[in-house]
Amino acid sequence: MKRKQTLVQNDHVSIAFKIVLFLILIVAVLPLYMVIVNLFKDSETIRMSPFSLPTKPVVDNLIYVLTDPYKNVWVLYLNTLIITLGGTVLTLLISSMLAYYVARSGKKFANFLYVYFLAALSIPVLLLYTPQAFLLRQLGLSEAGIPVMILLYTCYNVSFGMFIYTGFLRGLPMGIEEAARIDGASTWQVFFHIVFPLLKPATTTIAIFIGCAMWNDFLTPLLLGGGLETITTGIYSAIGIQSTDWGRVFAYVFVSSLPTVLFFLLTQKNFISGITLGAMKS
Amino acid sequence: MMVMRKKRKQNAGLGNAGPSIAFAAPALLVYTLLFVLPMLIALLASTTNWSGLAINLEKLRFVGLQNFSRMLKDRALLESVRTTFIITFVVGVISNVGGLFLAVILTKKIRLNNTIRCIFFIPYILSSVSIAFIWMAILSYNGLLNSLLEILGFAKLNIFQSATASTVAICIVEIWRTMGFYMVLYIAALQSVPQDLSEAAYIDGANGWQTFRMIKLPMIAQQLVIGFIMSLTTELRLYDLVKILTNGGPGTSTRTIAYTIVTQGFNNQRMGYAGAIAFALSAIIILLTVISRVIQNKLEVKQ
Repeated sequence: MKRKQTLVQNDHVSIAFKIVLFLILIVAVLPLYMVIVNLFKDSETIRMSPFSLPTKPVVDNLIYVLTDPYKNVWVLYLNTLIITLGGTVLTLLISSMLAYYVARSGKKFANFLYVYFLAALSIPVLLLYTPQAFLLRQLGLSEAGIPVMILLYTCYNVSFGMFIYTGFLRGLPMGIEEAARIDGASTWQVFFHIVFPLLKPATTTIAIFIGCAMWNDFLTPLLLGGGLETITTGIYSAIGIQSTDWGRVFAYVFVSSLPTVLFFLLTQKNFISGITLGAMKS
Repeated sequence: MMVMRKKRKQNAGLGNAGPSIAFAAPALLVYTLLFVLPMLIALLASTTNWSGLAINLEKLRFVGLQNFSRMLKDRALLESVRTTFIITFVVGVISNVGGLFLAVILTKKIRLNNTIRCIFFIPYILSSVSIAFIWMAILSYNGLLNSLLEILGFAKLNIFQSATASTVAICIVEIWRTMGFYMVLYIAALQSVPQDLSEAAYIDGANGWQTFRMIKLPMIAQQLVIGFIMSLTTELRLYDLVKILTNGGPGTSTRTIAYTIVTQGFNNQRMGYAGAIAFALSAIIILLTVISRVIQNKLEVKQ
């Protein structure tokens, strides 16, 4: 029974609420506004008028950040991108396979595995850094960089992936899979050609959730990355904590945040529903 | 009975036609070697006086629960626990209440609704490093806020020299960062409330506030619990922001539990002790998660 939205619902907001909303909005936007506005000013102008729009936009800050020979942001981008993509793809792959086993094999061991992996979700990763650092040192892998980072991120996120995928799979009827098996397909063929494509919504959710976390992660590359720098640790060491050249600081912030913000704006719907779902489930 | 039947059907799976253990093998390997193993090492180490560097068998001693009893007497740790709890609670309450407020307004007819939602959400996807530097630029003694105050003729604020002001600053930043997320969460929750109920209430003469309190609030209660507990478990682990913005200062007044763990472990080379603290923190987080599930179940039964 379709009802007209305007019919009954109390959809209108009083002026008071609108004013409060506006005030909160100003406070929320201000820092972002300051970044954009001030990265086009030089230090003197920033000190004299921190909130105004730049009258003579200056791109020196951006140029410095993008072409600094001592801190190549493009290498940082590349490193972070490879690690994020690698970690995400690997996690999606092995956690979906794991979830398929947990949800479809019917064995008791599968239930044990479910709980075994779930334990990871309550444990702050902080706990693991030192033993992992120790293990890596013993194996001579402290400088191994990208592959190590990819594996580390995978092990952190495999539980989450399994959790989402298993939930999703349990809601998926097995008819097609059974039919395909009877027709002679191997489980691998069934999984990759039939099941995995059906998992796309879950895949999107997981990918966005963990991809973002990996891109923005600071501690793992800091403590375990060896000589490798990602966009977060690179910027941290470039700015240091003594810097007062705010224009340049904002340029760094802008450069490091642009990819994620663009990605968000382009994939809004998926992004938000992904994060919401991920959050509610965990 | 129905539930049991459904469960059996779900767990029956494809039986022999189903996936072999090979499907689970890669995940099992990676997870066990890189997650479970280190975790067991940390657990074991928390009962020793391990420094965290190499294993020096001469110096290594089993100290049993001494690490844990030391925790109770450690003034610095207790101070960081207090700081962390304050931040956690303040941020938890304000982020969720604020997020709920925004969600309620933004599920009604507002111009530029989607743009506004985006603006609130964006801080959540910025890296902790970016956020720390943004706010450092604003709040520092030579920062943008003080520039403005100078121009207006006021005295400059030395926020990071004051323990209270620094703690407040950290809270504000975390609230700024996370409110948009909870707003999104509660928007989804509110949108899943069936319209018929609130419309019926409206027809019956209830105003907005009554509809909210009697109808919508109980229906989103589960999500509220999830959201609140989630904010608690998130803020309890706070590290990045504190490290970059205040570095635990002034002095040690804004050190969080996570900061203490990292300091003890990596700087003071007391990995055994740090591990013990970390496990205690994990225990609290797990406890909160369990409480969350219990409350959720109770709410489900009620519905």
